[in-house]
Amino acid sequence: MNLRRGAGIIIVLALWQLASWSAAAQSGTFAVLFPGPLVVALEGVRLLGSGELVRHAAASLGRVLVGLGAGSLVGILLGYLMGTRSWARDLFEPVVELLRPIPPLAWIPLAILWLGIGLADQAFIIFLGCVFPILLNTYEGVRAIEPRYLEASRVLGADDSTTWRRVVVPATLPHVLTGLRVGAGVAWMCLVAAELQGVRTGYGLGNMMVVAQVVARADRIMVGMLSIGILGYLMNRGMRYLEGRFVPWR
Amino acid sequence: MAVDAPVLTVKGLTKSFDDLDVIDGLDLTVRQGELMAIVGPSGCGKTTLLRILAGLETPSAGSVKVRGEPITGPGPDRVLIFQEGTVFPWATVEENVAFGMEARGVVDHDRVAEAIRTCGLDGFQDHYPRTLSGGMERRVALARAMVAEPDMLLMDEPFSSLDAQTSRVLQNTLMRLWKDTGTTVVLVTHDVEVALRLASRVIVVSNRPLKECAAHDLTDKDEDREMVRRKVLRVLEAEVGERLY
Repeated sequence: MNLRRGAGIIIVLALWQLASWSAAAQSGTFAVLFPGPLVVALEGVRLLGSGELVRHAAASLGRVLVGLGAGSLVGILLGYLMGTRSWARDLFEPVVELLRPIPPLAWIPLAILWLGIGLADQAFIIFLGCVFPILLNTYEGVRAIEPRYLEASRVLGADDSTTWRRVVVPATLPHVLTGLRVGAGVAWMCLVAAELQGVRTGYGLGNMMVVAQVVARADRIMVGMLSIGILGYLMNRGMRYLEGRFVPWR
Repeated sequence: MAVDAPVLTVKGLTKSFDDLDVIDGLDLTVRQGELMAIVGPSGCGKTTLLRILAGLETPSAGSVKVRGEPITGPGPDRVLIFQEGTVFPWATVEENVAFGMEARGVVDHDRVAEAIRTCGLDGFQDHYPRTLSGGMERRVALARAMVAEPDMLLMDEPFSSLDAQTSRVLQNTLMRLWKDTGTTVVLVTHDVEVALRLASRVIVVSNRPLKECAAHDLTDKDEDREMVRRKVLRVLEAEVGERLY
């Protein structure tokens, strides 16, 4: 399996390099606009060595964590509330269903008007992107609890607090963690769009890519894209680790 | 084991779901310390009766009393073992067995260990249910119920969908626990042979809505059991309209 995965990456890199060489053979401009993996890797190493890439990545990661943190808090709490209380379900479900189809990026103009360009508006966009998958997974998790487990808890003498702690939370945990994993993926997608509008600090992978576009540095744009891919991949692996740690019964 | 005064009394019990009458004016008495089997075909209202006794359903009419007190909900004196699996998949065997004690605030680890041993689960304390066989899961449910030390154990088809050998092992475990603890057991089953093998009294229900039932005391004499067996089969055969055995 690992061999096949490694082979897949090598094949893609080889095709990329061949395509880049072929483009460069036709025109010198293409050589700049479509660099091969070797050139991109060298630029990545240079940016890493200067510390610039780390600063951009850290700024982006910070925005993702703030937006994802807020989205997780609201999504999990509201998901549990809607799953366990019918009044909350009646109150919030229509609102959620109305807001959910609106793409987070459609909120950017309003976010800039309301919050200005900065951490708040970018975190807000990321929050809007990840809150719904987290909320809906939590909500569905609560709804999917087999009533027989709740009844078994009751006949064994458990009160509401024990049933909540020992039945509801562990039964929904796999759904919550899946929601967090999906939400984290969406958060990275929203990040670039949020940063493309500009960042006040000057740091952020999306911002780095916009600046690189102005000076026609395709290699630096690709370094930015690959960095987002790698950070998203690492975050996904982290979530998978947490799933294994907190859901060992699966 | 003392088998004497009624511990549970059911009078004129009626239960309807929408327009469907499931139980209609049922009278029933359960004696202290007995192992009573309620035998009848699937869908005749046995499970509904058991759920009412457990306090999970409320009667539409009539009264259900435990030691003279009406049942208003689940209580520590009655534990129901459900037909479908209710062993928590996210808890280990030990955590599952200790659940009833934990719910009451005090966990006696020695008693948990003893229940695990008695139910033949030694060595599986740290296992999650997905690694256990169906029979072992039923034993976890039995151990979990017994650790809660109820006055009355209510069992809904505890041996269904088990192979013959596993079913027999679980029956032996139940008999051993019943004899050791003197807990009153109400067991619902569609299997006449299981009822005759285990019970000290058999109640035959054969119609829906569940209303009248015939009770048969069983002794250790083989001829008594055979006589009751014939009676039970006659009632069931009359209901389904064909010879059963």
